[in-house]
Amino acid sequence: MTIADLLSSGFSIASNTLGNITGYLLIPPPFFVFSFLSPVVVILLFAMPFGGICTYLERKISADFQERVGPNRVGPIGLLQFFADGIKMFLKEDLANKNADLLVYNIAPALVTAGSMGAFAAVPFAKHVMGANLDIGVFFVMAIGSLVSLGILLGAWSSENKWSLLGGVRAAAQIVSYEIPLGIAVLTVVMVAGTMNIGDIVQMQLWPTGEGGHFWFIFHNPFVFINFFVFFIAALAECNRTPFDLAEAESELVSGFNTEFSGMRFGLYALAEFIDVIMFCCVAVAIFLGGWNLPFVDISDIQTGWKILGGNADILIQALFMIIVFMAKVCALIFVVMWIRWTLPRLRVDQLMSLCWKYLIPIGLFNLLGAAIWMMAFHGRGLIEVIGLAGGHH
Amino acid sequence: MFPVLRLFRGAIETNMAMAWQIFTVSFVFIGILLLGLIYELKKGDIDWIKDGFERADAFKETEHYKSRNIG
Repeated sequence: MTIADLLSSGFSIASNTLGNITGYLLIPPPFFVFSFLSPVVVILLFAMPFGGICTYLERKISADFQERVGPNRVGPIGLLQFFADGIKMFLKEDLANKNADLLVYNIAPALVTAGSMGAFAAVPFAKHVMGANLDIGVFFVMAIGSLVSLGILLGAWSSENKWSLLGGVRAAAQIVSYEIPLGIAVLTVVMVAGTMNIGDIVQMQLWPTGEGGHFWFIFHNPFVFINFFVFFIAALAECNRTPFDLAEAESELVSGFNTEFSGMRFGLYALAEFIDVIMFCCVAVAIFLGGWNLPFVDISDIQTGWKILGGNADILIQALFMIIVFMAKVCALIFVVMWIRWTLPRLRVDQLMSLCWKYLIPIGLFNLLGAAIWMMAFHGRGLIEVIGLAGGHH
Repeated sequence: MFPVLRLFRGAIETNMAMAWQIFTVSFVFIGILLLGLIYELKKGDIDWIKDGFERADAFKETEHYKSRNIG
């Protein structure tokens, strides 16, 4: 095999919709219907409400950190506050600057939301619960996530407001810069796993009985471990979260790129930020933290023999357990993101860019090289296998 | 990089010579990028805020400064 063959076979990996549908049909009825509808279920019934709940959690957690009570009026312990906020935003007047470019101004929030929510299509919540089982899943998430920077820049430019434009330019510079360390960190996992299919990456982390017998990839070797933190820091910056929220720095830019937006258009920007955080946490859990897998436990082995509508209910029960495990890990990461927001001060713009170009990129590349050398030295085995705790079959 | 490094693991398990080839090609590519980054770092083009004195001197050369006769 030559390098040319290698490249051509590498590039031939593409999403195969027909293959996916065939895959769904192999699942016994009525579960293929559930699986086939999962993209819609995931996006409409998960991303939107969970994004809303995160706005409530953020306010409650920040209140706790600052020894306040937080929202406590709407619903029990203020649980319906996000719902009330949503209704308020729907009812508010949709304003635009007199000189705004209305076409672009109206499209921009939708682009940001599409970028955040579209990426969920390739995120596996459980073995059969994923929007699309893409062979280029990791690549797809990074590519469609880039729509966010486009939406922010377009919205900022079309607002006809200097604060918005400054915020938008900052956001674009930040997101484009931090995509590099983010990509390098993801590349390390792709190299270790040998696949870009996020579902397959999760399956490989089933320890000790899974194929290859790998433990969670964060513990595969010390280089991947450090690159997880590179990924996490870069993801924070990609989401414009504190300490990287310069794009909407209130003390300098009023509210940055979304200054002129009101009503539900502003709501979409706010929601997209949270959905982006959830999406990056989902990806981090899937590729670094074992996804739905727990050590020593194979959830696929759960057998109850129960029936639903004439079909075996075990797949559904297993999927529920997997979703619970996956979401528990995602929630833990989201808590860390919120914790960081209410603990660290905002960086200066030069510090932000220095952190990316002078530290994260060289560290990420060094770890990529280190991980490659580790793979060569130990024939692809992880740290746990090297020290003799390997399970599974090779 | 993604398609090439995706095949790295499989090459390690089946064909070590190919694995070495991928390793070399990938890291020559990254090495060239790193050289560029180091060059830019040395040149100071990645510094978003230049030295304060340099900025002040540059400002004094502008038409705006000269026309308003500041200082």
